[in-house]
Amino acid sequence: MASDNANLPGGKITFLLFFALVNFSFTIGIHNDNFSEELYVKPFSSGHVMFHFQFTTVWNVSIDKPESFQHYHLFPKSLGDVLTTYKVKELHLSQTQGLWKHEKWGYPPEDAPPGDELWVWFQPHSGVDQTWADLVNALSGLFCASLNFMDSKSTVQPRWSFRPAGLASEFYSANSRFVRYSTLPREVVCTENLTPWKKLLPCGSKIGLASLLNSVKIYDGFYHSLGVHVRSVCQDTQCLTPATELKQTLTVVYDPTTNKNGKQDWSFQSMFDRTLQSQCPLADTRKIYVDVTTQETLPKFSLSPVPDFVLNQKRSGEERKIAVYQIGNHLSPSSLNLKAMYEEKLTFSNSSLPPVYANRFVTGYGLERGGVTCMIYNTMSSNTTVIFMETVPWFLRVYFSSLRIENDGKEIKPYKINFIPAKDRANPYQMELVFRLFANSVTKITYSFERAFLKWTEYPPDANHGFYVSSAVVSTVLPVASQYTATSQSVSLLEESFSDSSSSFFLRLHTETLLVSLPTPDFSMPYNVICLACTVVAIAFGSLHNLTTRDFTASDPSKRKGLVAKLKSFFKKEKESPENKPDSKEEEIPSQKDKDNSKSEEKDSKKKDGNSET
Amino acid sequence: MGLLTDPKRQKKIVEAISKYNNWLCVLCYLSGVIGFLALAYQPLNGATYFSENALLPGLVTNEFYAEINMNALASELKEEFNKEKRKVPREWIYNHLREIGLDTYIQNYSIKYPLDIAKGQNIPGQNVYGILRAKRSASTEAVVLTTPMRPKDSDLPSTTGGIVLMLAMAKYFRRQTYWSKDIIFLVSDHEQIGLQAWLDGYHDIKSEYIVPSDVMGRSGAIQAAINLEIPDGNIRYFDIKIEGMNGQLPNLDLFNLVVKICNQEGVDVSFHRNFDPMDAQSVDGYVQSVKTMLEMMWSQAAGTPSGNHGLFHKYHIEAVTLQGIRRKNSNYAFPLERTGRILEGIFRSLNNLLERFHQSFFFYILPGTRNYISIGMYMPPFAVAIWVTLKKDQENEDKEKKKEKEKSEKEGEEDEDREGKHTEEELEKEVEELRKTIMDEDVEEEAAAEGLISIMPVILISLMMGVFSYTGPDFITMFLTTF
Repeated sequence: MASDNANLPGGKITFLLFFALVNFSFTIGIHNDNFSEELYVKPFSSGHVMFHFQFTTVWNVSIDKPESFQHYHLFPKSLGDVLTTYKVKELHLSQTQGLWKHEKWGYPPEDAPPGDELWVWFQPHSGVDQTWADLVNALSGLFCASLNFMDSKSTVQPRWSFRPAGLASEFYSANSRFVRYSTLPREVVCTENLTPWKKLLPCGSKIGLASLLNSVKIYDGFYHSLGVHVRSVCQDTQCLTPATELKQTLTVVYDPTTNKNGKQDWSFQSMFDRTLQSQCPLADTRKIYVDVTTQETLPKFSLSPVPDFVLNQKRSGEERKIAVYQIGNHLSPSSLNLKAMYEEKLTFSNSSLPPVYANRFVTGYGLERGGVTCMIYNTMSSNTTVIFMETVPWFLRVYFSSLRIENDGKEIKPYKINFIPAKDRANPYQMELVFRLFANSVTKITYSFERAFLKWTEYPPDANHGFYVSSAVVSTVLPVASQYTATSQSVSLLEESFSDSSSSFFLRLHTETLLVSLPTPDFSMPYNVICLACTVVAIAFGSLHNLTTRDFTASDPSKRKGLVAKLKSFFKKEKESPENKPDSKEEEIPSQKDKDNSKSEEKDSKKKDGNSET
Repeated sequence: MGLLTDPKRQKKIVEAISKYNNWLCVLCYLSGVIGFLALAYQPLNGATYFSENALLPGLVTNEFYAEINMNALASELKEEFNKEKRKVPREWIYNHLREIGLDTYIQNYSIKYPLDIAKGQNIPGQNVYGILRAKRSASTEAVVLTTPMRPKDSDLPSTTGGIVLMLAMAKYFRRQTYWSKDIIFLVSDHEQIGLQAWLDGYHDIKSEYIVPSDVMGRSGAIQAAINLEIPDGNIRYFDIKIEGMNGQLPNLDLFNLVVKICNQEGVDVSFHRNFDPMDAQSVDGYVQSVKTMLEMMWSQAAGTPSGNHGLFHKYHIEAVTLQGIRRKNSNYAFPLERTGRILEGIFRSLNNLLERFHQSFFFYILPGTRNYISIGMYMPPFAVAIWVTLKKDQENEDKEKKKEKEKSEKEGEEDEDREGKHTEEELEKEVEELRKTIMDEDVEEEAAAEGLISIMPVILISLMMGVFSYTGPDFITMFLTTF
């Protein structure tokens, strides 16, 4: 370390200071940061198994002071630089492939919508929009994702749904000026996103739990989600000094019942095609937890190797049994291949439903109008208040008047509405509704929209695929922790949240993304031919119409007019005009005589016309 | 300047046309009809081709094998059907779909019968369906495999083969890792009414007569649907049905796909129970093509869908029906497993789709399974035939104009003789009066023609149409065979 820092620029004083620091750190033997790696395995009654990896780095420096982000140890420098340059206070990025099925699997440790989602709280400063634009470009390079497409057309400032998850003053968090939220529902997440994500880990991907992350097997899973969450937390219980927490999560869900014997058996070897051979020496906590609550109910399963101990988790009435493995205890003599063997084949049954979940879908048919319906289910025996947030792209012209919240046929009045209409090609519709969900009921939110015509250059190459509408977000506070697995807000590690004694649980869940088709021109050869033909007709029409409707009169070719003749006739006209043909000048003040003349002429002509007509 | 502006030539042409007008009309009509029928002749129409490259039909080898004993399942299902004559074994299907591991739902609906027989009665119905959720997909797209449930005492052929096959396919499909779209396995009740209720429910559309329940499991936008009408075993060949509501047709690519995959598996396909002629250029071959073509048009003209697939088209979901035709004394029957491989091929192709079906034709006429007549080809003869009515209408107008002209000319001459000088107003008045008199005469003429005689032609024509619709296209083909 000393040799690393020896070539730092600076005078004597800094060098001395540095020496003192090094001495300090060596004598006491601690850095001001720590790292922990955890794996949480949870089998579901639907036959799926979730593996949730969580890598947490807590650095005892404040994110509010960018100058303190200098001597990196465990915290990734590439990310730290981005955070300080763009004045980030809190950052949450998720990259997901697949849809979390709340009805079957309960709540995930980190809820994420299909595609990419990014929400950021910035340090108070002016020009947040510009900072956001720069930040998404930087992150897009860092995570190899199309985050740079999160422009004003898809970015909103949620007022109530996305409050800071970490430390923040009440005054700051009440102001939505510094928050930006955006999603890319179409983004496909793959290996190229996993690799940069792994590079942020202090131990890399060769040792420790991260060595299990075999991209071939992970992307064969049913669902997977990458997450990067940065927030500021308390250093100790007194919370006098803030620290910065980086939480990297990877959730992957497998469906082992599709194998030949139909059993829910899982093991590291079968799920990741690898076994765990090492542990990260930099980590303070290295643990694996397996949810064994259902171990004794049918179908029974046994774990091998035997866990170090079984923890009884009690979270607001919900009792869970967690088998805990200290990785270090199981690496010798051979590598760790954690296995669960089931006694019987799985019989599919209806899984118990979570307290609150939602479904959303497109309604109607045809390419002129449509609608969106979101059903929010409350299976608890108590009422609860939810915040429903929806971002709709501008090309679906939402009729605000059609927005209805219904419960069992009765309309519900929301407590609060935050509706910001879209501007074409500038910003999306933003809707935030706060309303009550009644006990044991289904609440239906509906609205209709008109499908806009895009300009022909605005269509993507696969115009007929349809256009994506990002997930709606439902936020609420649950009084029970039934099927709740997220880490508590006050702690950093999964381990700590198992012994959580709070009585309310913040829940944020994402609904399905929607695929809506817009009226699309036929971008094909016949279409082009028609366009071309129409253009030709439009050009030719004028002259053809002229030719066919004009009355042609024969002119004497002998009276061809040269310049001299023209002049002559011009003078002739001058002479004749006062008597016969009224000149333009004289038309303005026609004499009585002229008027009479012209009248009689008109009469004559009309008479002729009339005769010829009849 | 050309024909249009030269009054002399114009006059000549007009005269010539009006002189031979009737003959011209007959000629046009005949040439239109003949031209239309001639399109069925193979060298005059086009061979079908795939417009949508993403389909990649038949690129993979189909590997479907039934993990469950389909014969045993079929007999079990038959027993269930035999238990009650009028009921369908929904629970049995529901349990089996769930056992396989699909998200299984039952959709309730009620029919309010609008006609007198059972007016005001609510008839309940239930559709059973399972959704196979594709790995890694966000349930934004789906394809549907559907089959109707028919109770024992139904007049229509049984579809137990389709149901059994569907279960076997669901089990096989769940194992596969390549699905990018959800697959919905739907068993519908009450034939088309049940399916309509399901589609209405899925798209949340309110109807006065079919009331689907509010809550149901859903997937994303449905891209395509295949409807199966397969009796148990002894299938000789497949008949493809495409005509939907109001004559709407599915995209030609889907039809081509089904034909191609069937051919690849060595299964015969027919269209309106007509096979492709061996020698399409022979007289027999031509007659068969014409027959197929007219039968298709006939079925479209009726406006009713020829199968459950027809209800999908309204929602911009391309759909066809595969009907298994059995022959009693046939040794050529093929096992249900081969049908499974066909379906696997079709679904894997649909799975490849990146966009909705949009490339190929939506307006076409089929004289066989491998030839098509596009809208660009059948519209010109049709236009020529229909031009007759326009011409006749114009002729009538011209006659009237002539009459007017003659009369006004006569009176005009008289006028000039009587009074050389007319004021403008008087002239206008006279013209108006003249018009009135002409109009009155017309009205009188029409009034005279009224009565029974005037509606006789209409009655006669409708009677003839009735007879014609009864004899149908058979008559035309019979007539054609004579030469």
